[in-house]
Amino acid sequence: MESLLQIQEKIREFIVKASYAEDGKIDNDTLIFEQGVMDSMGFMSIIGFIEEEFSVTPSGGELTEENFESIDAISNFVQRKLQS
Amino acid sequence: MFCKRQRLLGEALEFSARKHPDKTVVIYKGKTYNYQSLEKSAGNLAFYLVKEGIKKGDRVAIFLNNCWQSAVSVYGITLAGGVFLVINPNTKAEKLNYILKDCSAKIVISESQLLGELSVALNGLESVEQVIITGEIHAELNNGKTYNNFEQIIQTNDHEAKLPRIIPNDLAALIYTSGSTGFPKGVMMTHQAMVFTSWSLVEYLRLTEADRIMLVLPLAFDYGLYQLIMAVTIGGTLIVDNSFNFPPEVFKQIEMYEPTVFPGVPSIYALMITMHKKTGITFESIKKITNTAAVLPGEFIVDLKNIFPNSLIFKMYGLTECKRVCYLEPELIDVKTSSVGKAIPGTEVLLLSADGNPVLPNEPGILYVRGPHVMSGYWNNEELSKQMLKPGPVPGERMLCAQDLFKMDEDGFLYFLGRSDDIIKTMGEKVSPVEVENVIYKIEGVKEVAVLGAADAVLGESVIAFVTTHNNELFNEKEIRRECASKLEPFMVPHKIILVKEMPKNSNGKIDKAELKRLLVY
Repeated sequence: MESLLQIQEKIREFIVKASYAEDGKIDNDTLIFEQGVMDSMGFMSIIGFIEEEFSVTPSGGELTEENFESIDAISNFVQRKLQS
Repeated sequence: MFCKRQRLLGEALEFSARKHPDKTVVIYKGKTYNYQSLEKSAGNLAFYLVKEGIKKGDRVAIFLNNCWQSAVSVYGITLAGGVFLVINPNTKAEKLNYILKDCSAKIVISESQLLGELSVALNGLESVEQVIITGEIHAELNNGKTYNNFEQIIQTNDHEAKLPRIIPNDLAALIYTSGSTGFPKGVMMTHQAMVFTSWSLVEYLRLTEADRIMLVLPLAFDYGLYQLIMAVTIGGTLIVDNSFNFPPEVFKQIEMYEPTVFPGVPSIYALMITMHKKTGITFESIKKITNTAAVLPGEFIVDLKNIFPNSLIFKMYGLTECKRVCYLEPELIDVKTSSVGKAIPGTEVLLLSADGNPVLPNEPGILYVRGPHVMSGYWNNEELSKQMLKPGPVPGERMLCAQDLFKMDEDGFLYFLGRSDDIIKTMGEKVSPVEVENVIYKIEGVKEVAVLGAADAVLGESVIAFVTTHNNELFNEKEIRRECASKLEPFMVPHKIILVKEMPKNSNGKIDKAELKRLLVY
């Protein structure tokens, strides 16, 4: 199974590619939606990405701020799902 | 018993606050605010504005994210007799400067987070005398203007100034909307027009004081602004969020506060449908969903009924120049699937041919709108006002020529056929191609650019930029997008940038956009 670090790296790479943000400007704890790096379309693309890359599909109740607000949050969520 | 009727926008607040002072009017970031506190805060702001020299008809701009303070500002300005305008918080300095200059706003109400863009916009702007800031004021941004603190103002109970007497014919608001020339136009609305419209909407949406409206649309968008106005008018509650940018944030609010009304646009509904299909998410508390700004695709209806199992679906159509034109009774959604219904209560629509004659049923015609909801014109733009406002059947009457093509069936139901200008409608927002083209033209290496809209199931239309470059210069799509993102509101940034060797031209040498559109299909 992939380590948290590997998951974080893949998600970061995806977000940098999918947004206009420069790589150096997003930290793992940057609130990517609050900071305007991502919008609702970006949110959907993240859902699509974690589904494709990690076969992780969130349930309706898992679509929470805590699970998606930053690279850290998404990575932790993906790791939890992979472990369960 | 004699009962005072509402004539002015601000009176809705007065009446609702008297009826239920302790009821929650706004929920924002987990905090609740009641009618009494909205009335008191708005009143304090009104007296302050008058004391600072705001006279009846003076423009006061609100440049804020959706928040409690924006609700206070709208009502404070209107009680002071001022004309409010709400500017989208994503607006960049250049456009912000244009709008503030165009309406010669005297005071701007904003927030510390937006001071960066605002202070650039204020450079050389003489009309603005004062900036009221909610949150911290950074001293280094003090570019010759007086800065004051919003919170202090709304807590100060100084009622010595005299509020002006306002009548329904006075201007209440300017609502800026994108124009095909690339410069936004300020739609002038009187108290009379706005009070009439708010009651017409409340009537057909069947709203009551028990309703709680979920706001995710910007207050700068008239569709968003009227959610606040309707909530206050009915004595209901408005749950305020900033946008639908981060859906989980909105879902959490829906779960916590159980709104009964959800106003959205097709791009929001499209995302909700995708999420529903993946995760099974549903929203049981919502009793009414509304759609406008772009056509709601017929195939969305079944999914929307699953996502909002207890909800009526209202399909509507409108334009800023009269706020709303028509709506379809929700009970008819499966009968008149692709129709946007009939004129809103108290108004009338006509479909006329290019030579001004009524068209037959099912024949295309240009939409004309009659009623007290029609704008007074565009601020500072007599010529454009004349193009949109035409003589009506009653001597002296002016009706709105919507410039959109519709047809009407035998039962009088309206069907949208298309726009007659080249404005792009994406995610419910209007995008002027010229505005985007102007930004891309300034990028080094770009020779020619043409921006147009392409049909898109989720966005309504997506924004496409065709570009040619000088001397095969390196074409960097991301750089163009980044430059656009720094100069334009997010919804204006092209979704796709296509490099072409040469632009197709028509016989006058102008870029042939119809030909480019054809290229997209193949």
